[in-house]
Amino acid sequence: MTTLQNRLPTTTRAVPDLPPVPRNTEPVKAQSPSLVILVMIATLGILAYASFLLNPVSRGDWLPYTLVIIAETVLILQALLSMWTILSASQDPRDFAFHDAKAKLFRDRDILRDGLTNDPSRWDLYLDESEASIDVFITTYGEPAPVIRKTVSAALAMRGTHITWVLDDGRSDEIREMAAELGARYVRRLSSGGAKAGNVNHGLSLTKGHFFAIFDADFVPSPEFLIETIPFFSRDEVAFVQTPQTYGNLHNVISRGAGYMQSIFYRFIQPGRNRFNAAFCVGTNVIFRRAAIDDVGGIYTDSKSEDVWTSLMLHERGWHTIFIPMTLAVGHAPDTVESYTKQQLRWATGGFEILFNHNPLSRKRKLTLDQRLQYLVTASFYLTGISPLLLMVVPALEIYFDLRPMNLSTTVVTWVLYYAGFYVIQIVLAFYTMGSFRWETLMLATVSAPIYLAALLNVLTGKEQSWSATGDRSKMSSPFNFMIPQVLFFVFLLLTSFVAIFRDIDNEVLTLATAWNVTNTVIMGSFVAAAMREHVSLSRSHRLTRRPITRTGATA
Amino acid sequence: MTWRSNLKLFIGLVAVLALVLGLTVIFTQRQAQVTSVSASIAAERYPVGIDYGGTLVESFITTDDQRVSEGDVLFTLQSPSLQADLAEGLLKPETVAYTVTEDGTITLTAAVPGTVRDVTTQPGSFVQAGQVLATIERVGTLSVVAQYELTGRDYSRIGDGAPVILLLPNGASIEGSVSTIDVQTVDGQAETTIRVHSASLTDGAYNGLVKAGTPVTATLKLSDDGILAGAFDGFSDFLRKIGL
Repeated sequence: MTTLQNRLPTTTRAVPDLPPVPRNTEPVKAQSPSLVILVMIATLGILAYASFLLNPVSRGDWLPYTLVIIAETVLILQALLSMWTILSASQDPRDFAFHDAKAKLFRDRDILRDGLTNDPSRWDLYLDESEASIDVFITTYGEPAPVIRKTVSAALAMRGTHITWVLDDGRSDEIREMAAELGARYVRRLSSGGAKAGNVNHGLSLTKGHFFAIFDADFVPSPEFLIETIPFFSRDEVAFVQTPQTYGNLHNVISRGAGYMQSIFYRFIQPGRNRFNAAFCVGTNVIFRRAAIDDVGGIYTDSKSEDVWTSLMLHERGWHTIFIPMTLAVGHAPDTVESYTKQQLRWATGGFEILFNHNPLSRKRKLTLDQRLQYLVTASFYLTGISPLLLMVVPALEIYFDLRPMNLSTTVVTWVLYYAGFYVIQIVLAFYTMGSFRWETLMLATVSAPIYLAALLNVLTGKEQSWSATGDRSKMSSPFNFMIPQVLFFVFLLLTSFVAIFRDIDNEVLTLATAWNVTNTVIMGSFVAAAMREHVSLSRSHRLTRRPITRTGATA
Repeated sequence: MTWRSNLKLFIGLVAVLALVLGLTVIFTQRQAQVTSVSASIAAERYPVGIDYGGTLVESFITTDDQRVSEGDVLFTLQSPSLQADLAEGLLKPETVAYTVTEDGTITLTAAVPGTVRDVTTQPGSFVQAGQVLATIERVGTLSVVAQYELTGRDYSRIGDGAPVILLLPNGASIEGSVSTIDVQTVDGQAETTIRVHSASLTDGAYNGLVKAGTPVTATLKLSDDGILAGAFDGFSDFLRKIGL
């Protein structure tokens, strides 16, 4: 019902602890009908595949069958839930209050009076008739100076009065001088406890702005960042406004895979979560209300995924969060095996921590059903990363032991049809939504399984991954230091492929197991090849930098 | 790479190689054998019957699966039609395969030693001409009849007197060898029936498990000529040489 009455904006302002905005005032833009029908077809495909797998008639040997069922159950549930979230992403978070506040953000007369027309970074921002004071934190930890310089310059140039702080955990004098030169404030703390969360909390103890934005050292904010986000805070219950991570460095296999993996998340999943008031913070390109963070006792420091945990704490306290699918900062996707592994390990650990230590379904949590489900999806998302590992073992079981997940009466054609019903439609969906399908994403998702498994084991045993704490990014090490499990798995798959091919030549019949195993080998191999390229270029640059040093050493 | 990851990688590679080698040994071993679709113990069967209708007077079969020796009395019958034929001189008592007394009582005896099975009638009941009253499974004639589905290539790999491992329901295994092979091709698969003889198939062995009708699993060893066979033979030779 779109009567004039419920189109009218709500003027009442609720206290933060109560859910204030009635649903029917949501400005809704309908999803594209093609997307809706594609999602429906994909859902049917998923259900058909699930019923095929669970049909007792087609059950094969228990070991591979169990592996397949566990892996596919996780994948199917996540796919169903994420499609539900995608379909929910039809809400535009910008309501009347936002547009109203945005229109009243600047006071042109004051700007003209103070003669600041050409200096937008000093235009005062007004929210609800009062001046909004903003701190911008740039957290650094040993990133290269040119990268930080670019970020700090862009942060300083954002429109609207704000104070830019460089929170340097890397303790670099070079960065300090650069901050002084550019006009940003520089903070270095004595300890490095709590990693990034501790760094931000330390920054908060020194500042007193109403709002604070956080940017990672490599995320260059757009000048419009504050203008597009601050007006949301006209609603008192909004705790933070998150904008997507967009990447400007999609130049190799790993960064393309990692980047596109994220774009589905930021373009479809996060906006959908927004609808459920369950969009969570991703640590950078975000602006917080200080009162909200004070309410939950600062940024959460007991996890390396401080961003998700802080969001969870805020949601449990009844705060609202906003995600806008609008690129307001461009950064670097991980483009080396090392940075990718560390990033994924950190994220997966955070997810599993929530799943095992802070179950969102527990009665103790003060969350809505929607929020519980969305956090459950987040917390269990990285289980889908472990599934490929189980699935990759299945062909080997058939090759070596003749153990089949499905019984012999299931023909290859049936199998392929159902399989296509699930996976091919997922790819078509990705193609439609993203405009393209990146094999790199599929490849990375497959080869990352050991990372997620490590995260799962670390959470279950309460162990900390030793190398994830070292953050010295100036000294790069070979990618193979971080992917020994993948290399070993690749060797195993390669040898198994040889055995499988010999076996098929022997038996004069091509089996599905061989086809799968060879495919898996190629996928794993392309990752090893990417790492090999990285290794070669790395050692080449090492040699180039080392040569002049040895020469000066010889003359000295 | 750090020396530690190099070491880890090296140890890991050795472990993976050992794993694949071990799995391949299992795989080639499995490739060199084929398990029966169905198999059971069977014996030579001797039916006990009569070609005259009559009444069964007495049965000497008192227990199930009774053991009999050659010449043991099994049944006595009375047959009016046989009596009539004898009276008319159409038959002479010494020409028939069973003993007939003057009063027309027929006595059926065991022609071979063995076990009596499938007794079909009770005393007092009428017996049709040509009816089989019981079957004697001859002692010492047990063998296993096993069905296999083989590819053409596997079929060609069954050697003369190829060894067969027979697995009894209680888990005991008996060694045997192929005696006869019958084959018919269905959908490109050779449906093969193989009769396996074994010296250990003695009646009543293994707590009476060895008897006709007991289902077994018969694993047929094929002569190994696969591509990996050479490597496998070399490996097992090596193991033997170093004393494992």
